[in-house]
Amino acid sequence: MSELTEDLLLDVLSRLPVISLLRFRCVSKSWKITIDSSYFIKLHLNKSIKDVNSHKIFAIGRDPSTVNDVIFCTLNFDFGFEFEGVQRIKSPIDNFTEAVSFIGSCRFLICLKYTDKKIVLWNPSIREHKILPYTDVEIEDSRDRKYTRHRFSYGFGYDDLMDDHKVVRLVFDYQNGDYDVEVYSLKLNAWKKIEKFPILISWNLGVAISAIA
Amino acid sequence: MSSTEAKKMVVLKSFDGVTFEVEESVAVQFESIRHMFEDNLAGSVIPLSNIKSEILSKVIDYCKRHADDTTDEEDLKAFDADFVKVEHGTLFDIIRAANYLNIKSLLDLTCQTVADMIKGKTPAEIRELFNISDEFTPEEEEEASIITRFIYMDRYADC
Repeated sequence: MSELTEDLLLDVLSRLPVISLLRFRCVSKSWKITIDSSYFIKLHLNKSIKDVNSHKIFAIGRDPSTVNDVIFCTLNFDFGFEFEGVQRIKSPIDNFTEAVSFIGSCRFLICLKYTDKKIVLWNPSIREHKILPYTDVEIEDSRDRKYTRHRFSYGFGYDDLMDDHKVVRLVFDYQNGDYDVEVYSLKLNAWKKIEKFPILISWNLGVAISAIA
Repeated sequence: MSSTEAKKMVVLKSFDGVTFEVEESVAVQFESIRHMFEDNLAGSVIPLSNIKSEILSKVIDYCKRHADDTTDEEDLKAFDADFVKVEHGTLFDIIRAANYLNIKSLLDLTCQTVADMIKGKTPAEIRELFNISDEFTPEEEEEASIITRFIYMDRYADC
């Protein structure tokens, strides 16, 4: 059988589930280069966003058999609000017993908070994760103290302009009323402190990043 | 166009020299050659030098059905499902023709069919289907498959 042109092959591949694409990286060198390319990843993402079957609700729970194990699962939902297709996904970090919560999700990434300090970006489709580096702003470890002095707020979003995923962290100091704001860039893999953040934000209100003109 | 008016016809000629007379209302779906018959070239033959008659005839069938306002959506779905039940080689030929003629709905239907057909296949089956000679050394294939194995070892995956 004759081959399809590059354009047509991309069209076909962009319709495949991620699990098939990962397997097809082994087809040939050129398929691997194609599937790994940022152009294709964007093409695939844009198609998935339009596909209602790729819209999932992501939940954290406890494994009923072991009780202590944290499990993640996805549920399909359609606009008839029927939940189906519960699928369990292994936690990105093994044997991590500390509490985990969602900071947010954006495009194909999920941002998790394991403790006040450990932030993880996770791509559940390809089961890859990244633990964010600690920020330069040193905060004393609140677990060692009876009363915590700092409160943390986090937000996660995608910067369309820079094609970059970012995490924002806001640390409020009870004792002196100061707060620090830092933004993490996935592209740079680094935190940057925002000097003189213009407004006071209550620690328990959510923060998020998005491109607002 | 009213039914009493004589229907405007467009003549298409396939790669192997077979001519097809098609109503203009059907041929307007061929986006890429639309200007040829809309520019007052009615009656002249439009050569499609890279589409075989066997494939062109199928594509015309598809467009005829989709131009017919009286067909209801369920029937059209059934027609589409039946339409793509062809050999792989034919399906690929239809994709190329749909791409050349820029018939978006047909391209969408056929590409999705191939995607559904291949999504569960192994890399070896894909190589055979797409006529790809394996360029990987065993070490490279091993490297490329690490992520894949990681997923299959995942005890929670797909349960």
